[in-house]
Amino acid sequence: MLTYTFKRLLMTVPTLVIVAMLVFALMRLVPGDPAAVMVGDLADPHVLEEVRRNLALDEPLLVQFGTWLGNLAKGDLGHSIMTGEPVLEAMLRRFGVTAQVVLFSIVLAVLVAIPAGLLAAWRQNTRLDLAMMFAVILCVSVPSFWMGILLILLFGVQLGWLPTIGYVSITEDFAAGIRYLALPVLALLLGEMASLTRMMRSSTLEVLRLEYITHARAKGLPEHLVLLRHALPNAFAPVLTLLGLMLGSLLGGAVVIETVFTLPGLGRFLVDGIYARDYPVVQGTLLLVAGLYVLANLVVDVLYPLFDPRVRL
Amino acid sequence: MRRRRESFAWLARPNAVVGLSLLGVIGLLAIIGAAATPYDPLVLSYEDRLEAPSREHWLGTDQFGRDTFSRLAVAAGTSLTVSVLTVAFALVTGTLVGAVAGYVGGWCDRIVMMLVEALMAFPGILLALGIMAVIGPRRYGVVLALGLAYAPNVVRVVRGVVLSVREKEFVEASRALGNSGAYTVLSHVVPACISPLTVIGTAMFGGALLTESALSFLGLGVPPPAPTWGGMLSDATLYMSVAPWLSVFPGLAISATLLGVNLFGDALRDRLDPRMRGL
Repeated sequence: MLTYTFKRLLMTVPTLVIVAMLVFALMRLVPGDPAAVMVGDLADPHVLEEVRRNLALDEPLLVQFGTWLGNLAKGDLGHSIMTGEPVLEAMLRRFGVTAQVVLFSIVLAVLVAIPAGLLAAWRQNTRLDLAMMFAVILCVSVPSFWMGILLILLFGVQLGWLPTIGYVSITEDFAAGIRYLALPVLALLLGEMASLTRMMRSSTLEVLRLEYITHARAKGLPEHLVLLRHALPNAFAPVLTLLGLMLGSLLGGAVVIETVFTLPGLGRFLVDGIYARDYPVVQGTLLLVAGLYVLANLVVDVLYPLFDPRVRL
Repeated sequence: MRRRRESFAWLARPNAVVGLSLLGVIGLLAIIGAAATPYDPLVLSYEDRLEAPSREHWLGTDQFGRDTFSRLAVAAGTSLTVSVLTVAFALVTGTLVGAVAGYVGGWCDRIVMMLVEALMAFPGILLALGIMAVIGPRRYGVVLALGLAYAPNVVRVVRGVVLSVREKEFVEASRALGNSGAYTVLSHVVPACISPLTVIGTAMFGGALLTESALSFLGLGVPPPAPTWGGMLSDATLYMSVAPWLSVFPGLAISATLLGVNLFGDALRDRLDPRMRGL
């Protein structure tokens, strides 16, 4: 277990370095002087000179990358051109909002999808199963940002039940915070919940065919115990992998959803950064999201053998 | 004769029929958009602003008095073209890189796979956003950005297939006959990838269409004044209380296309990978 974890951890290092290299290369492809790109065209020449020294722009490209990586390791991602504040601080503050949306979505999706998928598989080819699979393919086909717009139309404009724009932190006012999060989470959740349900159903179906399930039934075990104690644990392992991948699509979906609901999250920060050509912000958010995604999948892979002991690296 | 009919029988399954019909409707819409729309999708007309659906304007008009149906039709062509080009770009570059990496092996393979791994660390839309940030909103820039975001999947699949057939006798036989490595890969190894590539190509088409709409919703896709479904939705959000229909039709078009692709993709997957049937 420990060697497996260690090996998997070691495999992540080159990935992260190449991710950093890609972002570095992308920012160097922006036309113009890299120092001007990082502080904006209107900056004071002294500041420009300092940044040029800080980025080691006189040195060979490899040294520049090394310097940049060193700054990155110190948490120095430069300053936002829009607001002048350090990118790392601004990102971490906004990340709180995105994290709430994404975490609520994942938890709710799992809570609904696991029982739903189990049920659909257990009742395979019945009317219930067909209806659920129809709902799944419908939900998968609706883009989350349009779902968000429809929810705003229904609950905000027509019924006036829930606020449709803005944000209140749940740490300040829990009830109000939940009211602001409800619609974005619902919009983001439906598609992911649907694909998770489908995955859970197909992995349960594969498990239900196996002999140990027939054996469990033959020895007279009640059906709910067969499903919960024997089928569920083995059916869950492939779903775990999907959960890791889902985090990526949730973080990607959050970019658009935060724009629909004007939430001050990481995605909105990135999009605003792109509009304003605020490249330090663009660079920082890309790095943070990719890094998070890599780490989440690392966690999934490390946890995987706990659910499926056959897996060894 | 009989065998031939059998091999197309899957097209008569309900999923395939509904999926293909939906795609047919969207295709027809795109043809109308390319051939002749009832109104010019770009001409502004202030007297007709924000009109509800009527006999003159089937789906109403937007904030500049432009006909929604005409814009929807032209946008269909844009979305379909961008998605098809994206898939083509991802398939061609991904297949070339994956085939070379898998066939040559060694360091080349290791470097390519590390790069693929790193590219896949970015959620697709994020990578596309990053690339759009550098090149700015351009019609073919979207294809490049999305293509680069989707190509790593193709590289992975192709490389996997190449690795599994590389040591097979028919590949060895081709080499023994004196064929070059490139010829062997193209005519004996790549064809083995066609069936998995069809399945992921269909899925990629849906993904590309969705991401393209999301990008244009954010104002970072195909630039205005060219109508796009995402761009129309983005405009519509400003007029939700006075003209709610504007927020409905473009989203319906995106969802209908995605539903068509998903249904057709499921049927195709069942046909090409019978182990997955019913799962």
